[in-house]
Amino acid sequence: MAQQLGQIDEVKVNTLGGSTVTVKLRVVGLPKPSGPAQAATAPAPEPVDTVDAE
Amino acid sequence: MTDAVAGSVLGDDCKLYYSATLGGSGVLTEIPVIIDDTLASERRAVESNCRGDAEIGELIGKPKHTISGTLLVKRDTAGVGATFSALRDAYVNGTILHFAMATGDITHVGQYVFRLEGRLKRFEQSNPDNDTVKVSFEITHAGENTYASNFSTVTA
Repeated sequence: MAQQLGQIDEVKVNTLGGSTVTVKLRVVGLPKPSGPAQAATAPAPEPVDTVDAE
Repeated sequence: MTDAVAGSVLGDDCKLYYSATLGGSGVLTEIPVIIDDTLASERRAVESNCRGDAEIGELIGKPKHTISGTLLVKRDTAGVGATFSALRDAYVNGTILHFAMATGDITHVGQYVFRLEGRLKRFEQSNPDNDTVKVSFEITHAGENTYASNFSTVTA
């Protein structure tokens, strides 16, 4: 799942005391992927050469 | 076994939480007593030794994150215990869990939290004395998991 810098996640935590609390976590550090961004969709297939019937 | 009491052993109570729900949306459960929890993060690197260079440089690649630590449980007549069972089963079955490692109580504003989804790579149990079971463990990011490990701060 793509995380973004600065995004705030609300997560629930079961404490040792038995209660469940909600905490907000703000993402402040996220390594960047290397290389060019991947396309969201698969590339179009290569055109297929056709041979005319003679 | 029951959970060891915080502060009763070595006086150190680190904070590590886990959830079986992935994607960062699950309910985190605190692992009762963890000591010496450690985040190892190192970027892979290759040396650059090209013609014309006056010195060796390093090309820095992606980071590899590993969480390690030691779980303490108390030997008694109460059986294995829920925390021990959950982590052991995750190790045996290769289950990916969501982990959150905090510099303090995760409910306290300002704490620093590292989150990672991965597997227990190592589960090393020792029974060093008549009272304690120690499990030294190591967690690495699961290669097929797409949740990006990240650092966060607890905000109000």
